[in-house]
Amino acid sequence: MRESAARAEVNVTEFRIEQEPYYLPIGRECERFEAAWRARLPVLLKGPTGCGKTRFVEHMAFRLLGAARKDREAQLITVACHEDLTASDLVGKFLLEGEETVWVDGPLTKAVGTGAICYLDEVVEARKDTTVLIHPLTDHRRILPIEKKGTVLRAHEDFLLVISYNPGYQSVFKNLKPSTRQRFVAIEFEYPPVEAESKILAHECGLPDKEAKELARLGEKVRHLKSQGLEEGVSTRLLVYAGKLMAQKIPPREACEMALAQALTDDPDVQRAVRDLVQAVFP
Amino acid sequence: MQSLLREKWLRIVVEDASGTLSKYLSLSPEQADELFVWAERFDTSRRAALFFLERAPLVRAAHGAEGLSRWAAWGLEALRLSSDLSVRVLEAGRTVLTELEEDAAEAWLRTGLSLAQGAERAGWAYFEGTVPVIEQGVLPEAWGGAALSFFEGDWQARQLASEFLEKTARFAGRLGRESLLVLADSCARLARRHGPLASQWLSEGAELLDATDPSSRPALLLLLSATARSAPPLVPEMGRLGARLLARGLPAAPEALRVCAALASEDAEEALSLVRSVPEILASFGSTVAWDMAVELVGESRRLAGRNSRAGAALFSSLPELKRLSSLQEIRRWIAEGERQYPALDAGAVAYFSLASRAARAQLAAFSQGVPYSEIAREMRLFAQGLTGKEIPLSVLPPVGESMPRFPSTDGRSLLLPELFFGFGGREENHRAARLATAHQAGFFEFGTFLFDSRRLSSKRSALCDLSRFEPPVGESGSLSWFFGRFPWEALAREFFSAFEGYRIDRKLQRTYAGLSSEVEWFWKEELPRRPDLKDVIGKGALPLACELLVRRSLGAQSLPKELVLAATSEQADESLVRLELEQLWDHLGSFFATLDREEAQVEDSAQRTAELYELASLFLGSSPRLGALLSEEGPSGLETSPAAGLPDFPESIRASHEPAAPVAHRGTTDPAAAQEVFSGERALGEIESALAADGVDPYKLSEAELADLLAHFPDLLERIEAGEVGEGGVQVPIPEGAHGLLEETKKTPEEESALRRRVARRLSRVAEGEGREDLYLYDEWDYLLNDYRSSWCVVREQVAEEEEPSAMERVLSESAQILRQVIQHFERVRPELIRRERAQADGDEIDLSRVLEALADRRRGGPWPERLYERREKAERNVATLLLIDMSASTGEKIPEKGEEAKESAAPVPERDEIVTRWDPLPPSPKQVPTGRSVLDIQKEALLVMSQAMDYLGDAYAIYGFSGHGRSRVELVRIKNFREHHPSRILRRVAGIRPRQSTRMGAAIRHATRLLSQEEARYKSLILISDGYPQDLDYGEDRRDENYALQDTRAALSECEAAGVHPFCVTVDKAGYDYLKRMCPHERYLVIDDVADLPKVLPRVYRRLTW
Repeated sequence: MRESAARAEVNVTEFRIEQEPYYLPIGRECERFEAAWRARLPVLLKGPTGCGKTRFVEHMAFRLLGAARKDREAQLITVACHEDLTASDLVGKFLLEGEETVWVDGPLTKAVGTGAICYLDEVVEARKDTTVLIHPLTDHRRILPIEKKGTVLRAHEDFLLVISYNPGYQSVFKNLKPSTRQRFVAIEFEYPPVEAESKILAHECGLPDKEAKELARLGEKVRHLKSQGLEEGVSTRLLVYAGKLMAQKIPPREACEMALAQALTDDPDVQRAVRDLVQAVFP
Repeated sequence: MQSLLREKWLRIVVEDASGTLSKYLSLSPEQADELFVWAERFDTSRRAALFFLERAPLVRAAHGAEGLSRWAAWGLEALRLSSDLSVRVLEAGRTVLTELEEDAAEAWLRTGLSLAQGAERAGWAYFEGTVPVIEQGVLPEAWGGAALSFFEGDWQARQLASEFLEKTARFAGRLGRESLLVLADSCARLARRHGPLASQWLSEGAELLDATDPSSRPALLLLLSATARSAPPLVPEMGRLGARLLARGLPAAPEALRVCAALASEDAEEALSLVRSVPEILASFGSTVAWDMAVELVGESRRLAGRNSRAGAALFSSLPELKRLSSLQEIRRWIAEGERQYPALDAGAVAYFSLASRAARAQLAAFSQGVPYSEIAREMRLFAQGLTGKEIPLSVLPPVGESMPRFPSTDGRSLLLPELFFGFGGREENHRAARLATAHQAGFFEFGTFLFDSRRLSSKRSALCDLSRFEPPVGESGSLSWFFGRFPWEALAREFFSAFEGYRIDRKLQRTYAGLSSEVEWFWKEELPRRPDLKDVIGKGALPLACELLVRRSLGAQSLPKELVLAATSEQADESLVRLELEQLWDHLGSFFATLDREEAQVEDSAQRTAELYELASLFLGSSPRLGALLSEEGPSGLETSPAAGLPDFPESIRASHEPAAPVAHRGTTDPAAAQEVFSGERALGEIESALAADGVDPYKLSEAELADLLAHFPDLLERIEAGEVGEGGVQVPIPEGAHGLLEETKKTPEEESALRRRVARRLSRVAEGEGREDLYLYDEWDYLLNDYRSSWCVVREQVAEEEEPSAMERVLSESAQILRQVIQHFERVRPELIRRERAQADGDEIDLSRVLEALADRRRGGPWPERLYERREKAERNVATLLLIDMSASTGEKIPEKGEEAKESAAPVPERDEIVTRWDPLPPSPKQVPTGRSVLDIQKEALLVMSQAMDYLGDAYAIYGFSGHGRSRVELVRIKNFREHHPSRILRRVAGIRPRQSTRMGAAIRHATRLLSQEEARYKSLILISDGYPQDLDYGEDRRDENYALQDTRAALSECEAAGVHPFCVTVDKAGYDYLKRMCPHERYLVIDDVADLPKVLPRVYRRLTW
């Protein structure tokens, strides 16, 4: 009850990952992440939307923490940042209960305390004061000052802060400040190349290889439109959606209409161009 | 006299004992006396009297006394004019008595006598011609009457009367009364101005009319008589063209001539050119299937011409395009709509029916199913980019003369699409056609057509042709141009190549894109029945036929067209042989495509096929054009080629008569060789540019040493500069800075050096030709006289501005820097407006007092404690996009007159008076005077620099374009900065490079600016137009002196701009601006600056006012 009150304003996902999430490495990102984790270096994941950053973190959280942690604590706490997200949303706040005030931990505090990976998705969306808040957590101190309680929380040894950032469509106003930026090691993500993506699609959607391949090729073509009306190319996530629809026996052109043409943009010209590409690739 | 007559009578008796004597003998003495009495009255001419006596008995016998007296009276009446005439009257009179009614006979005589009075010889000719004319069943009066029109003119015309009668007597019957009248009338009118021509026309015209089928002759007559009335000298030419046209027996031709005739009565010159274009217009209806349509539509034109000849002619001229755009039913509706909209058939109707007005086009589009370029431009550009992964610009094909090209193409840099896709059925199909055309043209890029390298070809093997001759010499790149240049008959090789490469691209598309596979199939099937009628092609010779069959093969046709077999066999004796040969030819052509089906087929395979087919064709067609000789008995595999010999040539007779096969709609008319040149030029430059840019070198800077180096390499550069082609100083020649070094480096391999040299030279020449990077756009233009838009009237060419060293405008720089400081200060002072206060926030910098009070009150009443009690100050996000549009017309180059001596360089602060801009009062007199020698453009540059830095300071999106032009086909929009560029130094150089050009066609410039702005996503968009005078251009309105046209169009463009959500604002430095600006836009949308020098200071205020 209390928690839900605290969470109402924060979109937090916190659950225990029971099975290893599927992730197809494109380069050496897994090794790099693991090394960073072992060195307890905060990680910045850069990359366009829907390219698999979140899946990657889940995958790594399971790989790194899943086996080690036998208790029922979550390995990963994900916070989707937005512009009204304040420091107290992350750290925690006092709530009124009757005539008493009760302290409720925020997701960050919880992760710091239990030793989970805390993943701040789209961190630049959050207000500036929140980014300052994470500074002491990201250097050698690894502490979280809880201002309202007047205490300082020392991070659990397993704790790791991971943030994500999409350089594509951020406006200049929403750039990461260098002082924040330079506290992270970065791993860059791109949409996977056609072959890899078709494997991902085949796995995620249960599509036959041929269709997965065509869908991946379509993805490549649509991504050519990046910055020409499409702020970002089509994400792997959207392709997966399209593929799942196709697996549900929706004809490919129709599935792509739902998952791509309409979802990608409202610009009618771009929609038509996407549709043209869909119709070129799928008979 | 009596004795004489007796003597004569005796002579008759003696000399003609059997004939004449017997006639006289059979007469009673009274009767004979009667004759003598009549004869006596011919006493003034012995010849006439004798003639009378000789014929009289016969007349008496045949027609009785009454007949005789009429006859004699005719002779006597004629005798009053001359005896010669009298004799002719008597001679012809006998037949007249027999054949004509009394009234007609009288008319005959009167006509003849009138003619004789006009010119005696005409009278002779008339009476001499009477008998043959009567025999042809024509009233001689009708025939002769026609000649009377010759007497309305001077002596030259009179002379022609007899000539006319002599020439026409033999076939007056065939010509008929109408023809005679028109011929005589036209001759007479012509004679008044050009005697010799008239005489010539007389015989020619008679023959032409005689040769023309009587059923269609009236149309020709109508044309001739109309022309004769308005412009006699054009009659012969009109007659020749008209007769030739009718001789072809096209069903709609007579009606077409009637349309021309209607026009001829108003404007014969124009009618003549219309007549000239009739064959082409009718030919556009193509095969016989469409003839009913042609007849009906030409009939409609004639009906319209009956009311307003120009409107009818306009409709007639538009028929080919209408036919291409729509079906008969749609066109009918369109015509009816035009008549409804313009019941008076005035100038608006003419514009409508000639498809010049926007209403006309829009109406047609509403009725028809075509897909216009403007609708799909962006989609197709994105589509092409999606397919190829390259940014390929898309452009509309500029009009060629008056007509719009309809085949897509690529020039190696951009895709060029026609203004309208139509004719494939409904909109859906036309859209598919556009998509396939785009995919195919993009396919040239995607599938490597422009990567052709002759070296790869020469290493191939062929049983049919020696390919080693395509090994380029050292230092030459084996480009497509070079490849085609190997063929003595280059055009044929190109034609073959287009068919093969077009097929290869289609197959590649099918293989790569499953979805396009069926599209290609579908289009092939659509395209085949549209190919030219084989019956027509077969008449052109074996080679055109073979080429047509080749194209059909490339469109997947599987079996030999039946109509061909039928057509060929009907004319050939040996049916089975022809059939066999055609089938062989067909099979062989088919086999040529087999290798192109392979997945790994490259452009060189198409080239190989080209060479092989060329060789084959020359072997069999080179010697004899006969179709039967196309293939030898042993077939192509038995060929022996001699490697030493070059490629064979074709006899001139074949070359001259060859007509290339018609293009295929989606493959279009791309010239692969020219496109490759551009493509590799672009690619090479792109490589150099990116290599240099990676090194941090500005690729467009040229040092003096490099210029010297260039001059060494391009000796004609100086000449070009001197000829003004390249521009003063030559410093803006965009040769990469590193070119010098590159040239040095590459000297090791002469091949590469020459390649680089040629690329640089190409770039140079393109700069010299003023055709740098140009994108074309078509815009409508408002014609207030029509009260409608003229459709696709202006061609706007967007170019990148030339660059120049900014050091040349040092003064401008320092002035602008000073002003900029003031402007920024000014902006700083008003800055609080940039901060927005957000109340009722959950968190914030301050407490929102009013909310707290409210909350306390609520709380006291037991209500809930509200959460949003804070307020926050946030920087307002400016979301503004502005386009500055600068007048670059020639007048901006004029120097501003000097003002007094007390010019002081003072940095006096600009008076802080925002209301200046608000109320549009003139600024108080500026303490700083305009220095000598500055032009309006210099000050505009200064203003631009201030503005661009001020806008950078504010972080606003902006673009800067200049405009000028020369005529409606060349409105130049010069890009100094688009919304995305952020290279201050380059922009500075471009500003420095602005030079006065030509005229000021504002409307088109504003429309283009509007288009650019509407692609931006800003919340607030503004267009600031800075000019120095009223809009004008050489063809801005039909009457050049009519400023109103230009003003009205500009006004229309400005309101279109507003309608598009852009806020336009006009600033002019022309003091007369008040007069015309108020006619172009509402008063809050313009500002006249009295002192030009104030522009740099005023402009930021205008901007602030507009966008805050």
